[in-house]
Order: sequence, then structure tokens, then C-alpha cells
Amino acid sequence: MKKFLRYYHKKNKAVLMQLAEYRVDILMTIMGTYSYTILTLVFFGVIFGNIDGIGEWGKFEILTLFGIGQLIFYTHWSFFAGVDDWVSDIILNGNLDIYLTKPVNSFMNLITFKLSVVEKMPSYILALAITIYGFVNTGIQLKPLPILLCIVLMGLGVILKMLISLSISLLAFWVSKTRDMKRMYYHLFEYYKYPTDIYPKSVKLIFTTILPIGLLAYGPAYFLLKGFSLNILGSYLGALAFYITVVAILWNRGLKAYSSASS
Amino acid sequence: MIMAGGASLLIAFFVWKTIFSVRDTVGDFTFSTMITYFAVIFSIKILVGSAGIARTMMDDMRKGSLAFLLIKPVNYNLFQFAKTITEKLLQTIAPLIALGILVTNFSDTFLPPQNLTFVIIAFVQSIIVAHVLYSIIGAASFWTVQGWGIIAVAGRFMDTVNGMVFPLDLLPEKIFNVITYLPFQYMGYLPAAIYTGRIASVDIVRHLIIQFLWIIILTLTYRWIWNKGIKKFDSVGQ
Repeated sequence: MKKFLRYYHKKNKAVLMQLAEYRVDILMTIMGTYSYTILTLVFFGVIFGNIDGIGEWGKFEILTLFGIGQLIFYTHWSFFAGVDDWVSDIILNGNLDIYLTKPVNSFMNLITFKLSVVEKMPSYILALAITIYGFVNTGIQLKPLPILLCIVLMGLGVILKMLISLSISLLAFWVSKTRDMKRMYYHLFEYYKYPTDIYPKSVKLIFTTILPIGLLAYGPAYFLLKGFSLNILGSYLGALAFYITVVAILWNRGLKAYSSASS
Repeated sequence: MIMAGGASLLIAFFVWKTIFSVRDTVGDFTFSTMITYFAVIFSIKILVGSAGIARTMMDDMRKGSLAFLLIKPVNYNLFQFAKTITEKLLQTIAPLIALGILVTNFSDTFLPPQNLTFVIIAFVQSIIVAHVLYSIIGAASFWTVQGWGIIAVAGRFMDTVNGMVFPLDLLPEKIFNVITYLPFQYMGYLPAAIYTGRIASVDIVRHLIIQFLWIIILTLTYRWIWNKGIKKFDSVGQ
């Protein structure tokens, strides 16, 4: 562990030096992510200018849900950005060898090799502001237990999101084109923006079990806004257990199937 | 892309179904017109979302491959335009079939097109407007090193004001009036609005002429930017 942290620290120092060198890249990343958030806020502004709520969720509850989803997304991206972008490329290009030969845990090295905390900080602040603004305006009294539960579930949500993304990326051990699957997944990720109550039972079942995107932000937001639900906690933990198993199987079997050559 | 569009349409369907479960209209949209609007807009988005040309131009300029393409005996811009149109025409088949199936099998929810001929004209012109607008954004790469942020911001801004995210009629009247003076509504909103019968028959021809005039204005603007940029462009290689 100590060895990994030392290695991680040095690796991230290199990332920070690279960021300092290419400041325009940071600005562009911030612009790109801010534009998504602002576009969604404009969308909500227009929609809620015409309606009072979506199902049993009012404007500020939806804003809180969106803010929490963004926080999960950016936390995931801060620590596990490589899982979305590069893991499948590394496998397909035969560069996984580099990570396997390092004197640290290969799996941890692979999933944490791209730190983007500094890049994502401004987006994180905006998401936090939206969450606080949404929550304060719901008029719900601030209580420590729901907040604690919400934060715990958000942490689990980050891990769950990483595991779902990783399970798709690890398919690159067997499938040469995972890009379309990823693109599909990114679009499905939009499901987090709305409470799962609005979907029919069959759709809700899919998005809370097999592909638990619907749970990611809904779970923490529900705990914060509506109170504790054993059902949601159970679904969350069940989904986590399922995806930990899936990733473990894919990783172990994938390594056995993996081969590369170099000159 | 088509599957992704389908996923987005499904989300829109459930969101609007929930909203309309407690009311009959939003703005002056009924559930059927709203869902039909989104079904059409998602079909258009697959074909009009031409950010690809901006990215291609950015890559060509950054990697220097533009120099290689410029010495070929073809006009770079016409070549890119032909490539876009060919790709888009091929991609048209699947969404049109999907839309046809929806309209045929779920006629209570998905409405048939009003003024089909005008929809097709508006739709073809929309592809051109989108291509030229994204080409203008792509040409910004003559002056910038990393252009993807600009493409992302411009793309999202255009999606907001071209009716891809929500029908422009839902905007407050003053903002809607301002948007009508800009070219963006002619990228997506116009064909969807004609399809759903939201534009009166007498106004359709006027809108199509304005759309055509925007193509001319934007093309001239693009040519001016291109001529400025190409003088600045340099690359080295073996």
C-alpha cells in the first residue's frame, strides 16, 4: 500500500506538471464541462417555466438530484478518468504490459493512472453550488443523518459508476470495438437526471439492477430529500456486489486471454 | 449513434409522459405533438449533428495533414461537404425507417408529417446550414491550438438554440423572438416545426427562403474566414 501511494504520488506529480505546461487544455476542459451543466440548467429553466414538477419531484428536488449526479460524475472523473477513456485503448494497443510490469498492484495502477482532480475542480464547485442551491430551496430542514447517508451513498455511487464503466472497457480483452458500447452507455447515463419513479416497472428494473444508472444519483438524493429507504440501500449494495463480481471475472479471465507483441 | 438517439428519445418519452399525466398541455403542446416533435428532432439530430466536420478540420490543421490535402487536385471544402452529404444520406435510412414504424404503429402518439415536401426541403437545407456553421467553428482552429473546447461549447450552445433540447416555442416570447433572427433555428427546429404543423402554411415558404438566404450568408462568411486563415496556416513535414 505504502509503495503504491508513493508511486501514485510521483505519477500524479507528473500529471500536475503536464497540466501546468498545457494550461489551455485545462481551460478547454472546464469550458466543455461547464457548457454541459449550463445547457442542462437552461433546459430545466425552460421546462419548469412551463410546469411545476416531474412526477412527485419539484424543480428544486430535480436540481438537487442533478447536482448530486454531477458530483458523483466529477468525483469519478477526478480519480478514475482513465477507466472511461484509456483502459480499452491500452488493452487493444497492447500497452497493458507496461502496467503489468510495474512493481505495484496492476489493477489499482490501471484504474487510477489518470488523475484529473485539478481539471475537474471548477466543475465540481459548480455542481456543489447547484446541489446546495437546490436543496436549500426545497425548504427541507438540514439534518445530519440524511446528509451522512447521502455522502456515504455518493461515495458508493462513485465506485459503482467506475465499476460499470470498467466492465465495459474490460470487454476490450475480447471485443475490438467497444467505442459504440461506450457511446451508448454515455447516452444512457442521462437516465440519472430524473427520478426512477417516472419509468415503467420494466425499465426501472433494468436501470436499478442490471445497469444501475438510475440508482447512482437517485439513491443519495432520495436519502437527502425523502428519507431512508431500505429498498434503495439494498439495491445499491446488491448492484455493487454484482459489478464487483463482474469486474473480477472480466479482469482475471481477460488477463488470461491477453497477449501482445513488440519489436 | 442511432441506438444512442433511441435512448435519448426513450428518456424524453418517459419524462414527458410523466409531465402530461397531470396536465393536457405544456405551452400549446399536447403529448402527441411533443413526442412527435422529439421523435423528428432526434432523427434530425443524427443527420444534422455535423460537429464531425469541425473536429475533422481541427485535426487536419493540428496534425498538418491539411497541407497534404490542399495539394490534391480537389477543393478541400467541397470534398468535405461531399463527404458529409454522402455519409448523412446513408445515415438517413435507419432513422426514417424508425420514424415510419413509429408513425404507422403508434399513430395515436406519433403524428404523421404535415407538408412532407416542405419538410424534406427544410431538412436538406438544415444539413447544409449545420455543415457550414460547424465549418466556421472548425476554421477557428487556424488561430487556436486546442479547439475541442470551442467545438463542445459551440455545439451545446447551438443545440440549445436550434430546438434540439426543447421546442423553442417553450421559451419566453422575447427570447424566442431574438432567436428567430439567428440562423440556428434553421438547423433543426424548422423541419421539426413544419413536420408537426407548428408553422402556418403561408409562413413555410418565407421560412424556407430565409433558410436559403442564411446558407448564402454563412457560406460567404465561411469563405472569408477560410481565406484569412489559410494565409496564416503553415506546416512542416517530410
